[in-house]
Amino acid sequence: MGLRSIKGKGIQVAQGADVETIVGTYRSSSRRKVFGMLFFLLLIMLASGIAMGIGSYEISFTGVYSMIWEHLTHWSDGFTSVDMRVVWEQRLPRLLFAIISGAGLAATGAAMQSMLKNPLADSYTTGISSGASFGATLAITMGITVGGFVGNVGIVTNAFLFSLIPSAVILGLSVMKKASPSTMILAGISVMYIFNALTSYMMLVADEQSMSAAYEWTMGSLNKASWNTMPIMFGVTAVGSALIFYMSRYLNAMNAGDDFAKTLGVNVQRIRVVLLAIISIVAASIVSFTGIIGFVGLVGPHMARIVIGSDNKYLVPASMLTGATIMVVCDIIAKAFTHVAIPIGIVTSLIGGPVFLILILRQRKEVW
Amino acid sequence: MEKSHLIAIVAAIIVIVVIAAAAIMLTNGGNDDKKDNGGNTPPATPTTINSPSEYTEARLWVIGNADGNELLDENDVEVIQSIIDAKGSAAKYPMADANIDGAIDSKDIDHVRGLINGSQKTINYYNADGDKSTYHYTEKVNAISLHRCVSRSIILVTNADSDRYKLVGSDPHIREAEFNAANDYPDLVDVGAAGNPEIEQIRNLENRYGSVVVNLGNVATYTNTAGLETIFASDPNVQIVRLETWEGHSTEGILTWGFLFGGVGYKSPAQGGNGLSSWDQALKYVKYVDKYEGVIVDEVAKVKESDKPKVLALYCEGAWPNNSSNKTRGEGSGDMEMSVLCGANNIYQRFGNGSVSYTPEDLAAHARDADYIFSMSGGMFDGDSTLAKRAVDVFVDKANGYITPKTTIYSVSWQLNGAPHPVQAVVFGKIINPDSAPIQKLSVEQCWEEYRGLMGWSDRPEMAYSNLAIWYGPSHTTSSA
Repeated sequence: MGLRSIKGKGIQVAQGADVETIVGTYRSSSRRKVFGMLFFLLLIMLASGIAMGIGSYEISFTGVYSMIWEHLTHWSDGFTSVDMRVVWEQRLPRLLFAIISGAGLAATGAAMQSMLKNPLADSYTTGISSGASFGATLAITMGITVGGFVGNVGIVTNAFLFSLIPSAVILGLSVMKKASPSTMILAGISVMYIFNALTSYMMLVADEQSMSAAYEWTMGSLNKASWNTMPIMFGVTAVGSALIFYMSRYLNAMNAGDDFAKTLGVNVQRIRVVLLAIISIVAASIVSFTGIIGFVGLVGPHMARIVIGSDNKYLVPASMLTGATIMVVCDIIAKAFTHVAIPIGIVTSLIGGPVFLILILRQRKEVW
Repeated sequence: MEKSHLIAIVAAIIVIVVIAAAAIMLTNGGNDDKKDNGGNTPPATPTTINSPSEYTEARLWVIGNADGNELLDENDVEVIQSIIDAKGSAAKYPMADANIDGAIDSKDIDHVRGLINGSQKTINYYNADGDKSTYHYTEKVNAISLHRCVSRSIILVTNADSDRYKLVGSDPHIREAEFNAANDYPDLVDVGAAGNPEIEQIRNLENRYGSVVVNLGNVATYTNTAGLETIFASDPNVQIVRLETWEGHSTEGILTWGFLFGGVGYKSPAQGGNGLSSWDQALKYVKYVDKYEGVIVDEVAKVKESDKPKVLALYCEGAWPNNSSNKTRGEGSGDMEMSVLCGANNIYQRFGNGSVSYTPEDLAAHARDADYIFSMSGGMFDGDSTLAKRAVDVFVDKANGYITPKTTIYSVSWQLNGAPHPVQAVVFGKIINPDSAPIQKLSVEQCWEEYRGLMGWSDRPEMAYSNLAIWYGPSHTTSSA
């Protein structure tokens, strides 16, 4: 007796199986997905617990949680000790920054991979990282900012606005020329080269302090985490991820191919434009605060796909959990082994590369 | 044991003893019988020779400066002679091997005497990387300077005589307000980035002036200039000179530049010189440095290590218009070295070696016992004191609650790095040593005005002390919790 698979669901049932068997298999598969997500959720809770206890300022592991509880229960007293201030102003925002940025990058990465039907795509495929890098470098080395803002505000504003330019170019191509996914990827790469060239020139002529600061920005960091910057990043990521989740059925259709999606009544070009815009804004809002953190958007969805499969209804939230977990674990590594915290972008690339290789080698072809 | 074996062992011992005795005779026996050319018995071998064992222990880095002070004179000849008499090696007395042939002999004495009387035009010196380099004396110096700190040093030594010494090219830093390039150097050519100058521009200047000297710092900082020496190796009209400015030995760098440009065959005003040599300028600068830093060094030497105040210098994000770094100023920054010179116990290493990033949590972990924190600022020569004030205000805001109110916070202008070393030393010195009467008597304004005179800026009212923003403070955080 042969097997047939229910397309896109990763479910295999024996040929000629009765309805009850099919339904039972489907329910079992759904339970597996839910348990998988619960597992990722537990993982991130465990990682968060460990991350909060690590830092240069010595606070006991239990002391960290007592500080959190004490401040929550005595909110009006403000910060009554340095320990409390370090936990609430430094560690907790940093943890939440890691979770939000990881979740956002992975959600947008999952959407890009499904939309472009390309396992190597992530939110940076549209050239967002190079645009953001250009904008930040322009602010740091030349002092040129949109709106005339100075300091960190200028850098963030520049990074955000310039990161949208590559996406705008690709969106324009998509609208005017009805570009295919491969054309969009190639356009993103060409825009990336242009911005990288300009960024390199600015670094070349900059003084050593500015060049060092600009280079450090490109490596990605959670050091700018604060309660002031959190609302913007959280708001945009939450809304954007919710919209991506809402459009998951379109992603499922597009993942099966443009022609197949059209037969289901999906306006592929329009959906692609809308999704690109959402992905660009979410990724830009993250990159402008954290700098360039690679591999999370690429590896997170693949890790989720191994357990969850390719159904975007589950894959998008699962990717958010795996992406957040990757970021928190990398932050633990960044802080734990050296005297000075390594920029997290370096750690994600160092870890992400081999992990991605393993995932590729062990990948279940039927989930892609 | 067999008889034949015993004879063999005894014979081997005898051979070894004979060889050892011969070796001793050959290495030591000659001295007792050596006579000099005049047939007289040479003087007794001196037990100590006062010559630096490393070039950084010397003031002037010209090789041949065997006594390590700031002059090249007959005293150096005497020291070299002492080393020859003691059969000292170039490895042990590197500053005595004036012709850098690996041996210390009469040729080195001839070389030094040639530099003194002007007959020797080849000057060997140690550069900013600690490498032995060679400079060929030229009557006219057409200088190209790369980076603001180098520009300050070159302008200082070439300020002596504008006919002999001319600044002809620079990197874009020369356009900063400090240098007044548009008025003072209207023909100056932009040769490109300090770390990556354009070879064609250098060649253009060579063609225009006949010869140029490219001045910059160490290879590690000027990362893309490592090949310059190779590119111009066969071109005697382009010389590459790397000497220290902010890297840590700015006085030695300026002194050596002064000698390279104008020290060969030097005659002081008392000897009939016109006092306009770059060497005159450099010697004046050294006197100026010693007048202020000598006081500070002497006073600091009296303070026990355990009594020295704990100090940290750092950059603070937001304190600069564009810089987004929160970094300590550690070893190699110049600021760390300056604070130690002025009597501080600098605690940068608690954060990590070198200049490293820090967060408010790191301040809470490592700097709660700091006596002073210096938030480095810029803008000293832009006439904008808001940057100096901002450097303090932004840091106070960031550090509030993480360091204690006992820590005193100042901003000190980062632009002070480089040539005006004594000015920063006086600023740091007065802050770090509040109980030292001699240091408190030093005047920052006076120190700056003397430097302004040496730089030839006396006719520039915007460079008066009252228009600058060298430092700001004291300030304190308001909360330690």
